[in-house]
Amino acid sequence: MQARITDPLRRAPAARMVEMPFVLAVLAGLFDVAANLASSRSEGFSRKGWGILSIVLVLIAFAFLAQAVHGMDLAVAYGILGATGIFGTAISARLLFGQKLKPIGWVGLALVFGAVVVLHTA
Amino acid sequence: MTFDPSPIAAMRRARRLAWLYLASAILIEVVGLTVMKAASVHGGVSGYIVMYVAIALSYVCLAKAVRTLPVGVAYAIWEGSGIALITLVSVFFFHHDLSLRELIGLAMAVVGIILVNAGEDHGSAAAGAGGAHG
Repeated sequence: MQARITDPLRRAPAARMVEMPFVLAVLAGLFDVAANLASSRSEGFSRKGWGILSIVLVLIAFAFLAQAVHGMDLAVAYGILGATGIFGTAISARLLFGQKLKPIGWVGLALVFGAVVVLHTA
Repeated sequence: MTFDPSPIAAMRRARRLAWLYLASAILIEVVGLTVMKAASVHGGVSGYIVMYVAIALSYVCLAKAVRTLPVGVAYAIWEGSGIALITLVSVFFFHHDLSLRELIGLAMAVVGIILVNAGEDHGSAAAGAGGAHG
């Protein structure tokens, strides 16, 4: 099965140009989160199915990112991907795997996200 | 259990290995993105192929790392040091001048990574080894 993504933005009406890239960037982030969770489940790639799934998911995430940047600044796209990925992974790991983070760790996550935004828009 | 001298020592070894895998994941990603950036100047798809292969390899290493490290912590560090290193690569290899804004961003990444690391809840592991990581 090929994850081939066509570009719906090229011929989209102007109104859709505003929201579609945002949706695509969030989707990229969500696939990135799913990739991280599958990666965690793969037990260091010894469970091959989960490991391969994680790679497929991250490649789909980057394909979505590549589509998102047709309609928005790469910096903004990375910011959205970073926010969804960083907080999405930490929250999902907390809920699904019980991997807790102390409050100082959440401050750290916010700073890393801030760094992604500052450096990509520099 | 004669072949397992000390569970704490074994855990330390596993953690050291996990950090090594995480560092490899980050370096492979940075190399992939740098090649992509260099190739995108000339056009063509070869740079993108390198990037996708690098990301796949990077995720194999990430999978090894998150066997021991919490995935939220590992991913935030991966993301933060990835962007910090890419900025440094553009300074050293692409002769980019570092702006004040980029210096602030780099500082945020470094402090953020330290705090994420400090915020890792060791929970049931309870090694309580003073909280100092190399």
